[in-house]
Amino acid sequence: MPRILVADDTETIRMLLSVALQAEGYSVVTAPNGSEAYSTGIEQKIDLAILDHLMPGLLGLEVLEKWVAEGITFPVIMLSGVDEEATVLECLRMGATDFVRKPFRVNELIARISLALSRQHSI
Amino acid sequence: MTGLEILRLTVILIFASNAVLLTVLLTYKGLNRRRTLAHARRRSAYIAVLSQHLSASGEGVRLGKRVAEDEAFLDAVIDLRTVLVGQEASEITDLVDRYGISEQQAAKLDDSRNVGQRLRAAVALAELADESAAHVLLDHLTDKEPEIRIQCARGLARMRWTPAIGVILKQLEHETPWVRSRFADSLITFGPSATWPLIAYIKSNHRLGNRGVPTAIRTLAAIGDPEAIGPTIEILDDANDIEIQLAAVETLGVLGVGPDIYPIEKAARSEDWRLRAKASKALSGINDEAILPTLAIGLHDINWWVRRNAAGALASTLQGREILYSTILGDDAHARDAAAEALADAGEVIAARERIANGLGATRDFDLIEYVEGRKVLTT
Repeated sequence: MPRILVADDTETIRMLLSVALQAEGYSVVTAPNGSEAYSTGIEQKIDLAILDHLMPGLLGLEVLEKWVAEGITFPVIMLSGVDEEATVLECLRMGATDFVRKPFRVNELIARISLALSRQHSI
Repeated sequence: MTGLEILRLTVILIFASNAVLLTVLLTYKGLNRRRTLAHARRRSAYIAVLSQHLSASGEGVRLGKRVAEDEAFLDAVIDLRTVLVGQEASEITDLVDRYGISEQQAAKLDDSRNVGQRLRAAVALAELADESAAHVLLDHLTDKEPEIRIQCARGLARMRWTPAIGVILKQLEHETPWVRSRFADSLITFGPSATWPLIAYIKSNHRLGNRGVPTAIRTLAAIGDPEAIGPTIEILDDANDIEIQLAAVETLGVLGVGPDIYPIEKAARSEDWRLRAKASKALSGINDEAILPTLAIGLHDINWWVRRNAAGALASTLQGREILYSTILGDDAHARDAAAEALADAGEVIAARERIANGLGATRDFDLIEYVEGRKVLTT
């Protein structure tokens, strides 16, 4: 059962995605801020992370940067209300697999997660 | 009873009443905290249930009719509506309809005597943006509570209920600057569909000393619809009120000037320095020789902002830069500073240094560098 980290400071999103992903057969672990997201990504076995950009503690981009420096191998999908092209490009350059803008469609996000995981397995 | 006994009794009474008051306060705080925590727990539970409902495509969960009366349920619905789009957002909207949430909040807004409850209902209706509540929100655009009026305008704008545009505009004049600016935010949310109602409002009212007109003109700038350029130029040409002229020039500075530059040129020669400064800025980037003399005069203006903006506008075109280069050799020290700063901001100082370093420097390049280094003008 793939294990997915949902890191977002909005409780509604953490809960919504936990329920939706569990219904799809994924195991879910959540983090309410950047620091916890970083440590969870390093300490636990994660298959994919959904990372908000604007979080307390560490920004999503900073978490991603630190993960990349640590050599993480799981795909990271950024989920953010930030719509600036520069931020989107920076996240993708930094190594994010995908960037989904808020507000979002849960079904679309699940499809992107499934695609990212199948690509990861085929590598 | 002796004086000492009276004093003792008074002290005991004061202590006793303070103890009672403290107990009441602590009990109230405790209850309030418990209520807040219970609300947060119920809200979380509703979000979980509604998420299951969405995962099961609207067939998974049955909720009792009474949940609609629970404010925690309302918060959960609003939170989910904020983060979702598409089919899932529509499913939440279906829930809002099924449980009659909008009707319930509309009734609270209409009937409640508690201002806090009415305001909460207005905020909820603004967040839900459910068209079934449009008429109630429209009625309360003239509510006696300013914050309720603001929320009603926001809600109507979020649902793009265009009949509200005229009503909001009609209210502009009578509102305080705060409410007016929040109404303007709502008009901006309507986007280009508010452009022509705004223009009609401005044209009908700008000669009447209407206090809402400058706000309406600036709203056109925020909407950013180029359709507004021509009418704004006409308003600038026609207006006598300095606040309206300032708003019009500012708006043209954002939207662009269009082919008829005469009214802006006229504004750039106004007696009011604010208008001269804003008009000079609005003329930036226009590749038309006809504006160069006006900007060249602005370069020697008595006011620093006018000189700065005129120099900036001149630096935005090739011909304008020629004027700036020649100004550096002129007699007016203030104009020289403004010209050098504008050339530096436009990257000319760096370019001149590179040309000199490559042996391609012209006389004016040496003049510019010499002036900049001598005057210690901030270079980019």
